[in-house]
Amino acid sequence: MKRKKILPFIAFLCSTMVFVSCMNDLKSDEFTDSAISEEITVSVSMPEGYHYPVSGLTVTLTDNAAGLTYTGITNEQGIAEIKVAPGFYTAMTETSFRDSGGILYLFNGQQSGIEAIKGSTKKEVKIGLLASKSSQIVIKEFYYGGCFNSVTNKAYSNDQYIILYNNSDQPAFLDSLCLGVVYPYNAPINGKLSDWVKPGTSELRDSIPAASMVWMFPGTGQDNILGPGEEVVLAKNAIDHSKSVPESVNLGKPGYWAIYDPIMTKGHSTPEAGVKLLQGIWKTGPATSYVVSIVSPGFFIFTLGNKSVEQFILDNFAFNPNSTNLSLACLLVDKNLILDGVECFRDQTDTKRFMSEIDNGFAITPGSGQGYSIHRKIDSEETAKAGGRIVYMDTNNSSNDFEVLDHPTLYNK
Amino acid sequence: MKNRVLQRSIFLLCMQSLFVIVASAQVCDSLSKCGYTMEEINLRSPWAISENTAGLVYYDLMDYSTVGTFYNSKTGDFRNYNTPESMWNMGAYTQAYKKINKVYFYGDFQYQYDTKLNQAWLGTIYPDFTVNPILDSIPGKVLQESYLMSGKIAYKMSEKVALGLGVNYNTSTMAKRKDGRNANVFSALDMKPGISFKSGNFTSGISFIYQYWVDKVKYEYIGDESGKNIYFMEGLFFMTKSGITNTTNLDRKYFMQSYGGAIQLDYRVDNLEFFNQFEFRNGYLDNYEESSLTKRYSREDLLKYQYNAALKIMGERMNHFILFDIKSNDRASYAILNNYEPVPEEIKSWQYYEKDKVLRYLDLHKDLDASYRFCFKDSDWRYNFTLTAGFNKFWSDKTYKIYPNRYSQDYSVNSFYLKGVKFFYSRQKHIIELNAGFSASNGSLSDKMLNATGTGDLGQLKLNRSLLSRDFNYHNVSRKSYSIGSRYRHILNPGKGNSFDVSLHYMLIRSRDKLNRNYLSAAASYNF
Repeated sequence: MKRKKILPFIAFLCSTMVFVSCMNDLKSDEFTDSAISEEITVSVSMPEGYHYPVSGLTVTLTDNAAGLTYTGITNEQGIAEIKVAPGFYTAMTETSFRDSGGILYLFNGQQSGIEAIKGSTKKEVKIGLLASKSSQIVIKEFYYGGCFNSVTNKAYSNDQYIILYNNSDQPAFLDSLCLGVVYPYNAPINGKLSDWVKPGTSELRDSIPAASMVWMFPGTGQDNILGPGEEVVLAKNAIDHSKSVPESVNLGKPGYWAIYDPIMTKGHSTPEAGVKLLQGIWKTGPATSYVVSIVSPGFFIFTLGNKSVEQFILDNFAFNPNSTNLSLACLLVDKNLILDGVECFRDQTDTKRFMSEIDNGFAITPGSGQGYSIHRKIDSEETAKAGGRIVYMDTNNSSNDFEVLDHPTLYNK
Repeated sequence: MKNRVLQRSIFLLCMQSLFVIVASAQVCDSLSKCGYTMEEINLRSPWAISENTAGLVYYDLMDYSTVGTFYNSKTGDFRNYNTPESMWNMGAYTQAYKKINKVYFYGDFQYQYDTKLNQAWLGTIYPDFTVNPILDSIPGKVLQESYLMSGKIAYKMSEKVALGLGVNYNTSTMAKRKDGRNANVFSALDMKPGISFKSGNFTSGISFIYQYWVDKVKYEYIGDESGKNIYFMEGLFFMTKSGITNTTNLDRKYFMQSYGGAIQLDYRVDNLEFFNQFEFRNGYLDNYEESSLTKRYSREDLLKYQYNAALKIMGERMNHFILFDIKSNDRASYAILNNYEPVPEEIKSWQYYEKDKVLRYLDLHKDLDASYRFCFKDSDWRYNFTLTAGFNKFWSDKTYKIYPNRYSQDYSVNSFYLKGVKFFYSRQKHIIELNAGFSASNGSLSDKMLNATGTGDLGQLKLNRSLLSRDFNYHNVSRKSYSIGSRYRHILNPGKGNSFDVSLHYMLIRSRDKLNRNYLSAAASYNF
């Protein structure tokens, strides 16, 4: 009788056991290291005509969405096998070699669109390195985000400036050296691409589209000399900003250069006395100010390649492939004419506008309106070899070459 | 003749006595109802409050309704990161049990208005609704309005079989009054059909449950002060962040669906009842970015089990209740891998496409509660005093993995509690209850807050150590709680069992690091 009373409860408890299974047990197969990772194989090769070794190169895989990075080293055949968390990656590698004549060759390579997901066929990647030379004149500092004005409690961004530096042991002449900002003004986000990719592809062209205005150092060829270790300051608004904004800088000093033309840039402040003027050589659209993004600009310096200004513009003017709006037209600057460029991102997931030979990485600050500036790092080894003359890092990769400063170097000077 | 008169007199006397007895019985029944409280009804009727709505037919008490208002407040420093510094709410409610022939009804409705001060880190109406919410860190005032209603109907087809159907519906809105201000709209629907079978002393049942809950949140920023951020939580306080400005407009939609069921087994003989229920729920929660529902951010698989048992012995002068409850609540969170690609055969259109998902986070909780309640009474619904003693154990186990890194946290918390209630009666018109309680909890504070293996390179992901520490400390720090309260009941109509209640309750929680949290509750109700 007692057994008859207990049996239903035993049956009840047994039937519940059928259902009980912890999530830990159910998901154990999905939570192992092999289940939460994928393997990417990267093959690196030198460009034609160069016979430097491809072993021992560091290959970096970056997840554009999550910002995860994984590294691997290439073997004798230039192959690296890297295990990563599932995601979508860009592979990057770089190296440099100095030839017997002392010329420093930089080799950079990048491949995007790597799908580290189950069943993908895009897990084996080839990177063909591209060669470039280290530049004599480099962008030493780029202050673009502006500062925080404690008087108004708002961001202040009229005090943007660039410093160019002679990184070599020979004098350099600034005459005819040109400045440009890349289009689009802000780096594309959410996986979007620049309008200027090769049609039907996601590949960047062999030229950089300079947007809105192009500026040039005046001179006949040897008028503006920049000695080894010397620098020049280029300012949009060449005035003393610190008088009204305590956190800002004085850009109105004699010897500085102003990106200013009384007709092209009516929106800029009239430069202080003693400030030299760059020459505006090309403008499109109705803008009255030279637009440099405070969020994610791309800035570069280039030469005209022995062409006159008129011929250069005639040969390289192009309408935007996706618009007939004149404001969106650009001057296409061939990559071989570019001396230096720096790509700035707001977020690691932004899309690149510069090809690998110009800038294989990106610089990034914590945010605009807070006084941050990007500054090239010192190459201690080369500086020591130069007998104390500061030599800055120049691997054509802003991720390695630049660091973020809390204040621009001209602050309180 | 004399005999006939005598017989007639005896007959009349008997009839009168019978009338008095019947009348007294009715008064006695109504007087029993004077002692009804919803808490006691729920304790004595495990079927009526089970997941099986057919069990409503085993509600063998009188029809009972209550309508009232309430006020609650919470203040103090002892709180978790997503709890407001202080809050109060007020509202109105009604509940009722009713039987008409073979059909049994239960219904309740509640309106509640909450005001929360200095509330931060709460992006959903209910905390922890999802393990991947978007949150902001700026404390601000939050206002919330909720409507909760449920209804059950059960039909006794025969002495052996009963059918039931229940519906719960809850809708809430919440708005924060400070940037990054979030506005939430919540809606929850539960459907519960069930059937029960009676055979001798055994009654068994099977029921099903379907749940569909939605929380929609929209963040906006209308000020011009810079430097604020929005946080995207990944689990175990890992997060990415993005700056928030007056062009920021972030929408998220959280959809939860679950299916499940429960089985019940009850044994009843004389004054003893042993009720058992096992419940199982399996579901998922989808987290969508933006209003178009084209990009899913994460997916959570949900698994819940619960076993509860109630042993009830109703004696002449003493009642004994032994209650046991064990719950398991597990979540597995997957990161969805989306790629922004051109739409096939389109030139300028781009769209997010889901390519894969990867398991990132496991969140496992277990809760065990066992208690014994002793009631000493003068009559069935007239208690002298009650004493309750209980034990609770809570386990938490969290694991976050992003190759090759692994992070985990696990702890358990033990609690003991004691509560006593003393009843005073005056002239059958007044009932006064005085109650007092004490509890002590102790967790795994000496254990490591986070165990980590791997390279530590998490890209954009950051660990919010401040929240991790605060949450771990809040759950594990030793604490004691003290409570006192009283309820006054005025019997308006003993014949019908109508009464009016007023109650007041205060609780103080004090942690080992000298932080306090005060709870104050007041309520008034009319019962009939």
